[in-house]
Amino acid sequence: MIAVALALVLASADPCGLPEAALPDAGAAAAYVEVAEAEEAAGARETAALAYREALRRDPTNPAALRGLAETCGPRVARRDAPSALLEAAQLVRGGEDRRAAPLLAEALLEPETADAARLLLSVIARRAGEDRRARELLERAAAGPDRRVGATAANMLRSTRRAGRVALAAYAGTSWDSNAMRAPEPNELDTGDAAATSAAGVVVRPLGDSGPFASGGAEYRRQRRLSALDLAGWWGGGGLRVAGARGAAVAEYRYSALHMGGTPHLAAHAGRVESRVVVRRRFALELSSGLEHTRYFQEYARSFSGATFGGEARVAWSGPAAWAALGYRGARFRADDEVPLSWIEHGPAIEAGLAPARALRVWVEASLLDRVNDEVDPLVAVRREETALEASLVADLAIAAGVSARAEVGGRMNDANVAGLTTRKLLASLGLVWEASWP
Amino acid sequence: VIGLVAKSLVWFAISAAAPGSAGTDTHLLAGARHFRDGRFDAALVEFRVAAKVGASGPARWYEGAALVKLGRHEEAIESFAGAAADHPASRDGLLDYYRAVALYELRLYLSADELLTGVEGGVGPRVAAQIRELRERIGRAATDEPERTTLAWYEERARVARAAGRSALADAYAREALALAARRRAPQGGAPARAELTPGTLPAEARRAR
Repeated sequence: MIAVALALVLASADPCGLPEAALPDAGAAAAYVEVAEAEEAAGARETAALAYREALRRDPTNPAALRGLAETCGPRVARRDAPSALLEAAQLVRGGEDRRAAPLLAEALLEPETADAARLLLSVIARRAGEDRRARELLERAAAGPDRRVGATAANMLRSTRRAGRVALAAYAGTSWDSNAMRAPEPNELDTGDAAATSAAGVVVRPLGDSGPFASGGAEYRRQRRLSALDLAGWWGGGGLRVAGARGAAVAEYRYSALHMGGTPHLAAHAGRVESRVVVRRRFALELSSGLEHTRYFQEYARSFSGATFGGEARVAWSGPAAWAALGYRGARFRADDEVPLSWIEHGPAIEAGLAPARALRVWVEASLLDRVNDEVDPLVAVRREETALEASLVADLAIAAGVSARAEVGGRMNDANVAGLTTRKLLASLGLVWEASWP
Repeated sequence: VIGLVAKSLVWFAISAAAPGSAGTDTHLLAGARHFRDGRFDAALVEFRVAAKVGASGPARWYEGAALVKLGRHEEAIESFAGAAADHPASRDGLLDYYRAVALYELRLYLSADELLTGVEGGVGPRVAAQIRELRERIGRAATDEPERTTLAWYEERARVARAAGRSALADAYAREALALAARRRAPQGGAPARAELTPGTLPAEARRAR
């Protein structure tokens, strides 16, 4: 008991030991760094380490404090086990104890074999603290480092930080081919395939950063090579609230969207959704989402499909250093505004799996299998419609410059129905460029 | 004594809070707590941060006390001199005691004794006892008539401190040399010390001797 008490006293007196968390205060942290540097210059290394530590309590990724603590505590740390420090820091970061992890990561920065992984974790801390620019700098260094696995993870995270600023922009331009653009039923002996050129852009504004209210909007234009009646022009806009913490995030959003097809108004939709993601154990997260959308079709042939869809999905997601996977189950209920027989319910599993085989390359597959059953017999076909839809796609994303990647996708959709005219097949392929940037 | 100092510091931190920012108060109080608990390096850091974020006057006095406890007496002299110049109103008997300890540890006996003259009555009984003990030690250390080599030692220290940019410390050594020179019956010397002294800061003993 006495030994434990003594150990605690000694630990608390250790200027290179773990600090307790303090409220974030970048201004005070800068003052501590100034004091630390003066103490270091005066030869008072222990006092300097103590001041650097205090700076890190208030600003866990302060570069000067990290460097200073690493240098002042360096010789002692070098005799310790840097991988152990990294491991302990990783546990603390996972548990949201960022300020306690920072000094350990400063230690891990000293050793070349752990430095890049330490930068990776420090970037997580920086991002949580709203220091997106700092997070990006750390990730850029980690991505360029010698550790291939860490580099691939850092490159992935770098992509996500490019969307994480207070103002984030994304744009896409590409071409696609659809083997059955008109959704002609099987057996399809018509020439219903067509190519198209697509461009899209979106913006998200988060005045308070990662957590807080946001507004978003975007537009898309698709021009068919032959079937101009299928040309699409659409826009959307909305806003919501996102709350993010160390162990997860939750989003509530409203969005209005409108679409023109073939140059005439096609649909308008009001949609609301809520989503949450909670890290339940190490690399595993539980994701729940739910949404309600009302769609109104303007063209006569589609007007009876106007109605409200309520849906949701539960997913278990796993993410590793250079791979990720998710398994979910989704369901939806559509209630037509006018034609009760067209109301339906559908449900089924969905999967996603991906890996980053190289620093600049990510490849993933997405697939879902949904069974849909209508509420009542459809008088037009004299049966209660039942359909099974299998959708799958394979996507490859290759980063070719900062914020720019080339994206290729191949996929298909099989829709089997108990009504011959509703059984369809199609193959899809696309190739395009994605640009993403965010400020600050 | 440490407890009394901490109490005094906390009281001062609170009483001086009005014009300062909340951040300043936080650092002063944190420094006082560390000082009370004997963590003088942590106290020093907090006082220095407090000085940077707004409480330069009072914080520098406490900085000096923390430096004394850390045995960094030369830096303490600099801090106390800066505090006395910038924030004379924050001076009190207890802080003078710490300043005197720094002077004593640097063998600036006459300066320490001059500082402590009259302080005893303005402090509590425990600190007064400490002051008495210190003055007794000063009395034993300060010989009646210093040797010429002793003067030369102080003059050399003053020169070195001046060269290092520590003007307050240089002044302290030069003042001590001049005060010692005033005690000599033989040719007094002290000219080198006078040259090292910042104009207008001649010590009382040297003034009397003139």
